[in-house]
Amino acid sequence: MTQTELNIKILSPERILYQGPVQSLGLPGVNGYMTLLPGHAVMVAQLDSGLVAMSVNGKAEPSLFISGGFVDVSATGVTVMADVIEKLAEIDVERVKKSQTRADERLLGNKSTAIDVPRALRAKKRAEHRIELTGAGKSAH
Amino acid sequence: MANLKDIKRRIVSVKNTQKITHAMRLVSSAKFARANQAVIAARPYNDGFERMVDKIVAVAGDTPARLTEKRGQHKKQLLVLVSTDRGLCGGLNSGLFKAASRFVKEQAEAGITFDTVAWGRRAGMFSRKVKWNLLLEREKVTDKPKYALAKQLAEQVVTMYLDGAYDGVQIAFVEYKSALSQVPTVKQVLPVLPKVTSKPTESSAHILIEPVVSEILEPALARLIVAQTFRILLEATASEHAARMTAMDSATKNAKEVVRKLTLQYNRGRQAAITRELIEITSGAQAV
Repeated sequence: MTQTELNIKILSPERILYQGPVQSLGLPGVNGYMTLLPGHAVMVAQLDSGLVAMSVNGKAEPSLFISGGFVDVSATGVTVMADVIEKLAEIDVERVKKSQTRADERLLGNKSTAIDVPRALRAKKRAEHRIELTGAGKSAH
Repeated sequence: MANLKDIKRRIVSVKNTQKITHAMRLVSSAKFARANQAVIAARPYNDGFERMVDKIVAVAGDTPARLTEKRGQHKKQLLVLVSTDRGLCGGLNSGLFKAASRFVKEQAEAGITFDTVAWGRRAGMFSRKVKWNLLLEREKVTDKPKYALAKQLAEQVVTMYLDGAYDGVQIAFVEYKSALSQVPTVKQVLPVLPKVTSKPTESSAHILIEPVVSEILEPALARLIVAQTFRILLEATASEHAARMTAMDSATKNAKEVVRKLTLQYNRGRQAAITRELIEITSGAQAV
């Protein structure tokens, strides 16, 4: 039997963001972006911060931002779990831009102060992905 | 025989108290509904995450992880007490503290001592009263708990565990079963006890792990502790509001009963006074 759909659940600790069948699911794996298709092998993978893309009935659903988490692929369905998941409408562009600037300042600014470089890099990346989702960053690229 | 004026004053005072307890009951039931929703909303993530960690652990087999390894050298553990900030919630806190004390006493027989961390003002007050070694105190944890708060608290505890001289971390909280049943519980969060035995099973051999088990295990376990902490906070909050709702409900009923008795007493007293006056008048008239 060939499966034609993936049964997915996208969960944050506080709510269910999406639940239902999709044809494909794109996820930001730590080793690179991956797309899951129906009939995928059983897998557990760690996810980076980035965008989750879903395709339902041949049409792309609005992407979601995730802050990094895990995906559990089993024979019965796919569960995406992350600390923070946001829909497009929930992203506060002003706040994100501020955190992007802050991360940039930390990275480029005063080198003598001890900063947590990986943390600043992660923050920068999160901000960039959020901006990518809102489309506000398009003119800058 | 109590003065009629005094009885009247008491009736008014009890009625005022009743108004307060009634209002508190209404507020608690609204808060409880919200807290109950939050507990339900958090369940899918929690269950999903636990299932996933079990899978990873099954594949991991004997891969060492700092959060699962057993320690036994220090004979000292950390006890986190999750209480409410305010009282007036029936026997909720005292039940919890009783359970925690019993646990500490049992463990003491095995030679294990505890340092404590208090999440909630009442827990801090209690720890000081019984002279436990209180390291940290935090208030307002059961005030609409957010995941970010759970993360912060959990990371603090994990850091203490990894740095410090502790064999384990136990959390004492009131588990939320239903609106009518809340059970004080002591739960071990560290070292992590996976549900499955750590032997790789036939089916687990087919699971792909990305990137690799040794890299995914620690962050997954760390997240699991945060998720558990979040659940504990949500349950403690739901328990608090459920308990306060019940307590305030019975307080209101009690006040009603007291008012009824006092009113009866007042009316009797008034009748007695009238009768006495009549007797005085008639006997006065007879004497003339």
